[in-house]
Amino acid sequence: MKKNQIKDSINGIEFTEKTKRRILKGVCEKNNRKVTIRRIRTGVAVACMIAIFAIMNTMIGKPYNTEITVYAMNKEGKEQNIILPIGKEIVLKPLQTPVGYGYIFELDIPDNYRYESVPTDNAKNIFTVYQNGKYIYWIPNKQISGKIYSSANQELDTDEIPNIDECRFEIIIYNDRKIVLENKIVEFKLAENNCVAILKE
Amino acid sequence: MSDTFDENTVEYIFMKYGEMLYKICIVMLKNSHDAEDAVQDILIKYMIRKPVFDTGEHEKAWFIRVAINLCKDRLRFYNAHPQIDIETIKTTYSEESEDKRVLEALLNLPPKYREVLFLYYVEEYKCYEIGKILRITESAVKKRLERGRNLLKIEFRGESR
Repeated sequence: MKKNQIKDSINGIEFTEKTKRRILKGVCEKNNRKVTIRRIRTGVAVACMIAIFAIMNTMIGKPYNTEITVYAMNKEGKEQNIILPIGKEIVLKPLQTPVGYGYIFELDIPDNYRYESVPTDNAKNIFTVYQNGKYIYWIPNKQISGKIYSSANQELDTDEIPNIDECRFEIIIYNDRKIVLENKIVEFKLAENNCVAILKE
Repeated sequence: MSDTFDENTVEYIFMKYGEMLYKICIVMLKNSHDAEDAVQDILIKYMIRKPVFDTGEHEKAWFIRVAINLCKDRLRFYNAHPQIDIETIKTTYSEESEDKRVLEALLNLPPKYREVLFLYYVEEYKCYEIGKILRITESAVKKRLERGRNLLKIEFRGESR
């Protein structure tokens, strides 16, 4: 075997013009195919991102739709619970609550969520509304079993309670990151020992 | 990467290295169709990566390394998915010539000897340069060359008989 025979044998492999054309043509075709696949992948990726964004937006960005359930007596004197509809007046009769004779409101918020009820009417800025966990108690008369406090956190004599026949407060719901998710306004009006409640957003 | 196919650049590169790459791929893959396909993939890889080279030698070494790695990947695939190869590689010399028998003996060697023998005898690289291209030590290159030559002689004698 000659010394340069390896080189000679490999150099003798044919590399024809036909082969060259075929290779170059194949490069164009493969490149076009890759471009198409890349565009499809980009499109799919963008679609996925939009879908994820939409889902995230639905889960995080959309206001949390809190339902407020009110426990009260109906006209027949039976205890009932009603989910407060938005913008519709509901007539309620008071029932016995842990803090007196009145109404119980329950908010269906997750455990790690918080809320606060803020009176929006300064003229009647008195805590007739009690919060305990997910429950809000509104005691519209003087039959209060516990103590009540003014907005300045001063204990009030129950005799000093003005005769309240109307109350309006805002419920602000926060998530676990203290981001306000929702604001709801509940108005109460007393009329002939009944209460008319209306939920506004 | 831009979507435009720069035909001039690819054609220039192909004219410069096409034959060398084709022959590396033939020696490694032992099949002209696979070799053509591999050369196309090398050129596409070049277009996608758009590597910047310091020197012409650097550029050539990059193409050789990419070609060898791509062929090795394909060989791994063929080992996992065996197929019958009925193709005879077309050569300028006759079927009965000694060159043809040398080529057949060379193609019967394991790939690690084929690549070293190709780079040493055909591309005329030094052992340390081959080591840099293949990312192995110079002594490993020398050992492979020695063993490759011995195996080639054995194969050639076997082919001759």
